[in-house]
Amino acid sequence: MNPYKVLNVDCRVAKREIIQAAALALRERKFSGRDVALAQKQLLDPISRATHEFLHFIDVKPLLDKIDLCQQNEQKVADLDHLSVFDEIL
Amino acid sequence: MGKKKKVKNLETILTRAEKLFRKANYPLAKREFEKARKMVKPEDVEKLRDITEKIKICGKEAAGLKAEDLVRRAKKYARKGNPQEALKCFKEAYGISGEDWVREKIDRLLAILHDRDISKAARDAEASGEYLKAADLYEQIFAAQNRDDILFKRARCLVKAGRHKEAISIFRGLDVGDNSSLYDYGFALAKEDRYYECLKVWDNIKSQDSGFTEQKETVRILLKTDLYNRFKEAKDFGRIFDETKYLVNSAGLQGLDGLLEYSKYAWIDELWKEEQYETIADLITGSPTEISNAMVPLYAKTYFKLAEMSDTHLDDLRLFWLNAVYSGVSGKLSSGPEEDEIVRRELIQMAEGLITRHVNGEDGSAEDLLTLWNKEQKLIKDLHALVGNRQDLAHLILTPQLAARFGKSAEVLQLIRENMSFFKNREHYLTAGSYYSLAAQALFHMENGEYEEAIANLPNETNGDEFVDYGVKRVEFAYGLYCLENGGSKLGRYFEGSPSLFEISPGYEKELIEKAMNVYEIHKLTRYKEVLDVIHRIGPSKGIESALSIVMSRWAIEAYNDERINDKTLAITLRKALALDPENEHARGNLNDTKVDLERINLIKALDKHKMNKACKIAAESEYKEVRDDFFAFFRRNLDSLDQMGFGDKEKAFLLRDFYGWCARVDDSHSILYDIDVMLDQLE
Repeated sequence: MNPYKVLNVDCRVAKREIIQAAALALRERKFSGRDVALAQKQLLDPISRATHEFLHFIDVKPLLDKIDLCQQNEQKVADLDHLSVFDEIL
Repeated sequence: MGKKKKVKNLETILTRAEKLFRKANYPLAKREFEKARKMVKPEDVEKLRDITEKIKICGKEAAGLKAEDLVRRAKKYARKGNPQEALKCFKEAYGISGEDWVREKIDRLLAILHDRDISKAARDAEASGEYLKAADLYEQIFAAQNRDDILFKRARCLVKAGRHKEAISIFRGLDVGDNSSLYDYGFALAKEDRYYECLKVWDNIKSQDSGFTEQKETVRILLKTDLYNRFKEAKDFGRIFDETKYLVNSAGLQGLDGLLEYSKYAWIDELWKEEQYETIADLITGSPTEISNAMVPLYAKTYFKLAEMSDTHLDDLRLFWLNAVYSGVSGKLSSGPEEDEIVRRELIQMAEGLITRHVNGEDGSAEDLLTLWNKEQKLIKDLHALVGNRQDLAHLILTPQLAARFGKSAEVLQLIRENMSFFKNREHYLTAGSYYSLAAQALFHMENGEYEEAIANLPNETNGDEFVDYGVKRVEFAYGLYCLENGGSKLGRYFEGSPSLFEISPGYEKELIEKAMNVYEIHKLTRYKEVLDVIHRIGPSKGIESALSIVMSRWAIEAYNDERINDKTLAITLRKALALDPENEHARGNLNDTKVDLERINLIKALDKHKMNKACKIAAESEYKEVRDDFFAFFRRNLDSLDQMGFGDKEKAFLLRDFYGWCARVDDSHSILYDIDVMLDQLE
């Protein structure tokens, strides 16, 4: 179970927001009360929270930062004119 | 007279008319009836009515025949492709018969003529470059005829008229196959800035035409520019990735590597949120790019999710998980190093749980996975502890397999070498290094119990590398043990390095000795004797000597019992075993037994050959009572059977005196001497 998903919060969520999110989740009834309570407990515990953060989030920023995105100079291209070469075949 | 003739004429005419009527020659019959009517008197009303009726019938029937003839002619014209003439005939026929089906024929012909006119008009319009007009006309034709070829014509005219969107929507619904349509379809797409779709359509055109090739290249360049523009809008990275990949793969276009990578990871970020782990796995495994440290957590987490869902990718999970969990320096997983360690342990247990779940429900391969997992866990834990908080070395916290994949094995080995003191002893140090050395592959095979593969994968040379050397010795030792249990020839060669291995790792010597002490079967004893002998010759130790001694004495007894060796070899071997280990009670006891047996055999041989002096000497000098008992038992049997030997009293007395002398030489107080005396007294 992904507690972040159950409570619909992201990995930067503060403790106070976790409690608020749990209350909201209980009202919305998308997940059982038991799941919501467990998710809240897991995110309030720093060890469990860190474990779940590792499991359920990826950080692609380090990968993106390494990429050289310099676009080469734009090449000039001719206008697209309709070719008749295939008409002749018909 | 005149009147009579007139009547006669009328009758003749009527008869002829009736005859023609019966023969269905209605036009002539009608003429005859009309003649007759003129001749009938007005007062002959009945006849007049009858003739008039007949004339009416004839008129109607004649018209019907004419209509039929017209229809026949119309059909003939239609068959001959002359719809105008056919139409004329049908119209005339309809004028006569007024039948509905003729009307329908007329309508259909009118429609065909209309279409013909439009088709011609469309062709004319197309030929004169009025493409939009032509397209409209083709649309009218299609509405009437519902033929795909008309739609193609319309679509192509629309392309030429610059109405690309409309053309695309038509082409999309058609099975476009010929080059001209494919070209026009692609061209329309390109004109609508849908370059990727254009190229995909044009890829179906097999043409080397330079103009077309050039134009295709132009579209590729346009797509490239378009991709960068769309990338700046930062949306739909999946499409950008697919189209960039297409460009790179199909045309090897330069300057797209960065875009390809970036869109891939940006897309992966989106896919992760959508929990599309299979697609992510496809993307990361299908990628030709090399894996870097930064990618390890992504790989590990993706494979974790897949393993969690379906028990697949467990091998991939094993490869990346520990590396991901240990990647970076302490404190990376949580807010501090202490918590970090707990989180790490938790994460490792979670992955281990997945592997174990598979092990419990699957074959042996999953067990091998767990063996490797445990081994790698120890190794990476050591490296992690060794690196500590040193950020500059964090990238070297890798399992052996990933270190090899990243080309970092040499750096890891250097790190281990430079930190020898970190390890608790030399064995620990060499073990750690060996799994990152050239011997690693063989060692992992060995860990999995794949001994044949292990020995086959050993490096040819150690080149003086202590880690390789240690790894080779461990693999050879393990393979040797495997062969000791399962058979093999010339096993000694696998143990030549064992003495130095035992110096570093005494546990292996203990293992071998324990195994040797529990061997009793002759074929295994033979192998163990050979191996222990080799080890003893190269590097003797107390433990090996004892083991060799026991194995040797056990082997000698088994071989003797199996009649493979004789008494002498038995005794020699037992003496050798005892010399190796004087405390070998097994050898000692058996050697004593063997000596008794040997003396008894020699005694019997001497007695059988009547070598009495030798027999007396053996019996007198023997330390064993059993030998003397054999000696006296021989003479007791002779005394008992003396009467049956057929001797006379003199000979008997002579023989008894000899018996007495021989027995007295061995034991002058033996009771047999008294019995011989009694017998001699009786004879005398």
